[in-house]
Amino acid sequence: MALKTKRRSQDLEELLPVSREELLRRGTLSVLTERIWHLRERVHQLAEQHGSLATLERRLKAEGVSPNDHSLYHDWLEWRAAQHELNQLLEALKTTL
Amino acid sequence: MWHVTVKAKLERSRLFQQVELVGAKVRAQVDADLVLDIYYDPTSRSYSYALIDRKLSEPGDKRLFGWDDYPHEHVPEIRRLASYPHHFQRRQGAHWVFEESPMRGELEHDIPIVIRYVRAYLKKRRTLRS
Repeated sequence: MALKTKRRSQDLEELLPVSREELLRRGTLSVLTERIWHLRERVHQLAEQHGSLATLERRLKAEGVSPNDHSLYHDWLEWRAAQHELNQLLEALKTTL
Repeated sequence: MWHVTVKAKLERSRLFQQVELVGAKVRAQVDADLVLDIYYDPTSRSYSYALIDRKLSEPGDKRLFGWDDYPHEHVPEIRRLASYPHHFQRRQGAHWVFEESPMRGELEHDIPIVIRYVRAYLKKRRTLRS
């Protein structure tokens, strides 16, 4: 049981952007939900700006990206990264509750 | 998560005043004007690593140099590179110089190269200023 808890704690440390000390101090649930909230907020901002990820992808394909300004590509990368992380954190949240 | 590794490596380099997660990118601050931005999509391993000078007067994303794998289909100088679509670009006056890139979207491999390059750039910058 203790070994299983330790393993889960190590897994969460690899997922979350905080140190072990902070994770212990603030509690897993608090850190997890805060990060999920931040990511959802960012995805919401990107959606307000571009509509949907599919719309942004169509725009990237149609307009391309100039070497002077990678903003569209950066938004695409960040959106995909946020979505990937959200999926992983929501899965972790299910096992934490 | 990818950003845990990146943040740790950047912090260990001692090159930056602060390394933080901003949304889903990693931003490392050299000083008030210079920041290193790391974007990474772990599912496709697509990336963009760039040093930004917010004081640059040129329009665009204010990068001084950077590596990314965007194909830039309309830029023949990039398409000609053996490492295409991976490329490195740096400013030379008002123009861009495009060069082959050793990056492959593998963070364990790529981030130490970014750190070495930024370190050398900052050293050269300090020398030129003194």
